[in-house]
Amino acid sequence: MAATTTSDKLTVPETKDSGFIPDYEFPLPGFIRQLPAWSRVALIIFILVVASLVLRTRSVGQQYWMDEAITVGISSHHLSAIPGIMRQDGSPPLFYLLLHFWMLMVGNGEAATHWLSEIFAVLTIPIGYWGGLKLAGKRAGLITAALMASSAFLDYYSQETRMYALMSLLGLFGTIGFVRGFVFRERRYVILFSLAEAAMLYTHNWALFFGAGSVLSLVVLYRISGDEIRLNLIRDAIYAYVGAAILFVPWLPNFIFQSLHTAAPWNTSPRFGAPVQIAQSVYGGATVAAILVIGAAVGYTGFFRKAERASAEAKIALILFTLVLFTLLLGWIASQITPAWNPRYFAPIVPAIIMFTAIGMSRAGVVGPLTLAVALIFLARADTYAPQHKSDMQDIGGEMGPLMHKGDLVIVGQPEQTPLAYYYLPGGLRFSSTIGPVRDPTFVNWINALSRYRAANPAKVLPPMLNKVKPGQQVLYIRPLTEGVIGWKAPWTSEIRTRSAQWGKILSDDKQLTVEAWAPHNYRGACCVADSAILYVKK
Amino acid sequence: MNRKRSEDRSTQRLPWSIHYPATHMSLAKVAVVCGLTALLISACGIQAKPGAGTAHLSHYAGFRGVVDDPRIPQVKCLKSDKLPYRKYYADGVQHLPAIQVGARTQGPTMIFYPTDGVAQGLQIMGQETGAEVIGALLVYPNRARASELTEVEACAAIGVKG
Repeated sequence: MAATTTSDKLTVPETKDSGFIPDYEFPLPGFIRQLPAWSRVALIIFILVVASLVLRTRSVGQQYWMDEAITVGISSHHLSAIPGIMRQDGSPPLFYLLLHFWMLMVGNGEAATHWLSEIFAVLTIPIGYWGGLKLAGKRAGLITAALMASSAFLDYYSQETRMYALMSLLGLFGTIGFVRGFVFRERRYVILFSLAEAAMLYTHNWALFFGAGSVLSLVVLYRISGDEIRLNLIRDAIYAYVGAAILFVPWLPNFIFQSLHTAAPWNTSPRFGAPVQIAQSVYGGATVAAILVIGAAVGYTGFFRKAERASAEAKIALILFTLVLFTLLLGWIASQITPAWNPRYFAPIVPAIIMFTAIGMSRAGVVGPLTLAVALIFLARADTYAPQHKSDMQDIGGEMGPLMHKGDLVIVGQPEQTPLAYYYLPGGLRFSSTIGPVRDPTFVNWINALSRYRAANPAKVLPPMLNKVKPGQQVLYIRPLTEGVIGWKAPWTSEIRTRSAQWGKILSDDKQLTVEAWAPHNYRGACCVADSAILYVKK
Repeated sequence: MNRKRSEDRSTQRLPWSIHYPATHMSLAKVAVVCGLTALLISACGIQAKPGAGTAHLSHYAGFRGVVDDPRIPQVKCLKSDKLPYRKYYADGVQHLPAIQVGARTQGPTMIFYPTDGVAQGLQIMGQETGAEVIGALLVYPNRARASELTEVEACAAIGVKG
């Protein structure tokens, strides 16, 4: 028989007297004390929003790397064409569609598109407060908001034209909906969870692991709860998951096609480094992670006492923990079969990790705010978590663009960098990758990409292209700087490294081609694959 | 009787019904909606990409390439030290960014390489023995005065780690 709880239907305190987590009391000046409570909270949230914007807009105009250029390239197409292109890309369409409308209004420059993610990241602060408040009271709400405002993960992805900030925002709604809906048993939150899960399914494929992880968490909840939670739990869960699935049905044919024909051949299977990856990418490093985990652990020590083990708070903490654990575990296991593991994919569980930490810290007495203050000192450093240089293609475009003429051929060694080269070079050029000629350089066709790449023999693919180049026309060869080793181990990237060298050899041996220029002349390093470029002219 | 009730319902003004022209809608709302719609339809947010071969590409907002000139901090430094200088590109096809301080062959010359490693490699392989390696720069002292060279070396060292 399952354990029974000590409480009836759960409630969260609205004031410091009514609940299980009392509010902080600070010796505030009289005029601030006279302000209504909501305005004091609003002021704190406002300060957090401004502080996070100061931290997160330092690199907002920074150049793209290849994934961002692919995203912008796809979103630049006509609305009706985007779903069809997504079939070749492998991602769900929501962010691309939102970006399409966003770009129509504010443009397709780097700063313009980064601001869309910036908005999603900023929204996690007030919504994080609301979520913390709804799950464990005002103190947890304020700590959640502070951690959202200083999250290293959101620092990074708020300045990236990708779906991860949106995914975190949706994950926040999903987490709040999940806990309030199934632990507090409030049906309107079940609806929120269902809608959030559906929106996540349309945003990134890790929504599947989040959904499956939440199912396993529900099993745990069912096992440890009494009738007050079990009553109609299964029925509500079925409604939630079937509802999300029905909303996903329109995309299902595309999803099945993508699953069968596209993959992430550039990825490798994970080992046992997930805790380190979480410490790095979610918390912002081992030091900050240690500080925050200590703060949370102090708060959770009470749960080792038998009396508290079956409490409502323990259930909330356990469900948040299992949601994270099972999502990661499922992602990890699936990635052993087909690699789909990258710290940026943690986006949907970042809010659950932060809320789990915040709730623990909110229970830790004076240790909570102390550890928060120390962590914020480490986290509040501008440009610490956003890369200074994502790529060098902007410079290559700046140097090579003015030298090029209409009809010149651009060959890109790494096929998925073609949209990036297209973005930073002028119009009217022809493009090819080391797979072969590229008809539309704004996106990448990932359908059976690895087998097509392996079949593309450089000695057969390149010479016909060079034969079509007229005397006087130019060939720009852009190839990745294959620095390091780890990033070039996957089947796809390993192929790129070899192919780039093979194509480079054919070009340099061609007696009809003369080197005219090269770039970059100022290489500052890059977080996310840099390139070198050589411009040849045909005699 | 049922028909009459149905007619009554159709003519009855529902609380959420809108009767056109909807003159009671505020002008501000109308302006915002029209503005956003116009923006979406015109797609004026997206700048057109200029074609290859267009003169003065960098003047076009739609061209996203930007030359990352490594000389900017050094030029600022030389200016603040009131040292005469001239920017140019060295070594033909290599097109290396360079700065000549003072007169050619007299004052120091700074040549900028893409990375620290390239500059170090040139010294290690004995190809540029008459230069000091400072970060990614090779600084040729030439016949500069000691005080002038000290200032130039300090400028060259901007941004160099270690």
